[in-house]
Amino acid sequence: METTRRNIFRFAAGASAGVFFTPAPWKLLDDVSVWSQNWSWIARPLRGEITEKFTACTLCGAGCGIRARCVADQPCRLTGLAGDPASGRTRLCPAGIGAHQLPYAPSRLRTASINGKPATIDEAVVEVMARVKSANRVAVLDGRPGRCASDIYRAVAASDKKWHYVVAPGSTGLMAEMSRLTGVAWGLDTERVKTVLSFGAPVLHGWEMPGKLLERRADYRLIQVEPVQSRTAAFADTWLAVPPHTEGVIAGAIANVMFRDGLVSCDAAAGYRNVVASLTPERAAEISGVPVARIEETARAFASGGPAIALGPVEAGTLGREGAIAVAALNLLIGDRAAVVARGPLVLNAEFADIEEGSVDVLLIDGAAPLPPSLVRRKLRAGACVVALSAFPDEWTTLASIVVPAPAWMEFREDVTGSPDAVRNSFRLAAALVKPAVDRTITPADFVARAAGVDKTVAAEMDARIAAIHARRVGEVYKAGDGSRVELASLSADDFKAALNDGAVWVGPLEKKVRTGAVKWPSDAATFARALVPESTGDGLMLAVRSGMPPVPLLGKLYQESELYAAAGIVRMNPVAGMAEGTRVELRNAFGSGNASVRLDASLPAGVMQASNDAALKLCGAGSDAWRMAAVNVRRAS
Amino acid sequence: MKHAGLVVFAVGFASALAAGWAGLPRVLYRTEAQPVGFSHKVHTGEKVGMACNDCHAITDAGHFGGIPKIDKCAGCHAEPVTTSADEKRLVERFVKPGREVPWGVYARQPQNVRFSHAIHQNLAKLKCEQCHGQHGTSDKLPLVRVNRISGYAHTMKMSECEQCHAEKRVGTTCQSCHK
Repeated sequence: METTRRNIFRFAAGASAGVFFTPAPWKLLDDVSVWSQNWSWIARPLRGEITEKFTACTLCGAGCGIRARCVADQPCRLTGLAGDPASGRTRLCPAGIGAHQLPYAPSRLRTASINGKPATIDEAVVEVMARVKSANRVAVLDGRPGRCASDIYRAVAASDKKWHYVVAPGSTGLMAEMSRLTGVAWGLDTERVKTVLSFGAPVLHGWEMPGKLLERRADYRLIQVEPVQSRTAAFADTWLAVPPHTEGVIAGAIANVMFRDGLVSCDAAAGYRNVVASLTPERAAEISGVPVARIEETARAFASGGPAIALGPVEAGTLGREGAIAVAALNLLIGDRAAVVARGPLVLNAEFADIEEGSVDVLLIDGAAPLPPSLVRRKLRAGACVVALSAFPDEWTTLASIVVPAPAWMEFREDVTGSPDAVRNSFRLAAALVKPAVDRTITPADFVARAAGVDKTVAAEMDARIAAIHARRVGEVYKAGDGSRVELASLSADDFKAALNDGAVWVGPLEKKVRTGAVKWPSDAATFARALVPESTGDGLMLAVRSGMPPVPLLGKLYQESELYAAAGIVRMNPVAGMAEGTRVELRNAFGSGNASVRLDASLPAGVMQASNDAALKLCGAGSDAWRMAAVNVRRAS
Repeated sequence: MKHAGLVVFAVGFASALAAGWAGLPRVLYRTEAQPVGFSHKVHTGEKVGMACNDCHAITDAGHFGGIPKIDKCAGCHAEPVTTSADEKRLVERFVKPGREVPWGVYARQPQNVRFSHAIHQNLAKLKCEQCHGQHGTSDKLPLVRVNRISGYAHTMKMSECEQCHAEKRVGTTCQSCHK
């Protein structure tokens, strides 16, 4: 048989036909597809020993305990700790569940920058030192006071008069205003409370402090006073829909009714009677539109509903200082029936609003601080330098002239002191579980210490605080691994430190002998009452802030579709406002301006507009001692 | 020849069949010997009397412990206890330096599959032998056959999983086994 071109084709045709009767094509396809799963650039889960580690979340002040399932020492699943005595929560919020993914966010800050140009961290330190040298006033803004890092900031402020340590409003907890009035730090007794009177607090959809109330919803009556139907308002026993910024008027009127009907059971409250004398329920009804009978009914329910608590919103500026006082005063009026526990003498930190205007030459910011840019600008001297110390870009990194990359959550060891509103003090460590995703970072406290020339480190401060707690030998230690509790006094210093490193939490005893002094009621009743009444809006709309965490539809069943609209650059308003869906509008008031798109939502009352916190902050004004929301004029963008 | 063309076609057809059925498996897989010889028969025999779970345990948390670490081996073999050359190699190369034995894995799974020994042992009550055959009483470790393309060892196929699931009347949906 000759080897001809025709025979070669015949052989090839036979082989081609035959190969389909063998496993070769299918097997090769199968193997190639499996091979393609292992290409080097395809992400794949680690393989290795499966272990369980215990730590704490530092995303907010709640400080929830975390059980981390690790593969090859890398966390791959985070869950809450049942029976965690410090946070009182057994589940994590959506942000906490994914906290171990955050260091890998594409938007992560990877290099320092000076005036927008890349720089090293050492160059940033030198630049800040030079600016500090020529400055008259340097401020360090602490978004989460109480940590060991905060001790370093205090030490820096104590070392040089030009340095000032200030905390962000809202970081001092929901009971901060009541503590200021009495000079005592108060904790919210969530175990006893039977009636919650909430003025916009995200009781059923927030997480940090009110989140603890979410765990035992069936045990108390909830009255929500809020302009919009938030999830908390939707699931409250009673929802009092009020116009934005009139919550303080309602709180004042409730106090007025309590005095009138003899429902006040605290001698120290007598000084408040005159302050709210003009805020009769009839006047409050005129301002807010809430019927007199509803206000009186609410006052009686609060005063006689067992251990009760009145809570303001998390955002400090929503009510203004006077509104916050009016809410806090309600707790003082019911005396021993308030579901609060005195934690100890108040350690008063200066707030950012307390700084003299136009005086700050260098401002260093550690942590997210919800402050309106209008307030920040007023505090800065012309040509001032703002230094943002952050792991991620935020409103401060866009404002700052110097940006320094900080390690992200779980990349470094932090201390967690628990919520400022908790009944007991607590202390735990959040371990560095995640291998750093960014090579060169520096913790904000270490950066500030270097810039100030103070020889202190967070690690040393942490060791010192652990030793100080152990030296007191009071309280108990909850070991997350086996759920056991042991008296601190029974542990050696080394065992205590080892337990903390393994995820244990120290919980202090209840403070029993706390002396409360005289209450500092507002001295000028007329000014106080006037400040509670919102300014006239003219043709504008009243702005309501969406409080609490944004809903995550994939992780929770209880959300309204319209809540998903509350993204940056979106404002929601009732169709009667006369705007069409998607209209670009300009928002303007005396404090700022901005553009946004309109989403129509019939669940919002007429005359009310709702925006996310970030957008609303740009339209907030600053008073002499606080910042507050203001009415906004809306018009179609040209 | 009258049907020469047909014959050439048939030869090509037969060649492809031979290459596909006999040649491909030899070319596609490379064989690797284990770094140390190991006799399951000796360890599970009367003299030593170990059970599968003594080394391949399922933890309290339900995770399969896999192949034991060198510490486990060192518990008995800190020094050679027999005259076996394999045991001597184990002690000298791995136990004394504290190095893990780089065992070739027979059952490495693709990334898109999950498999729980705990469920199959505790819930389905399967015996080890039902999937692993007489591996536990074998005297020598078989060679590891590694697919040159995929990099995985030759192991059970999905059809075998499906067949058993069908027989036991348990889920055969994609999500039962695939991520």
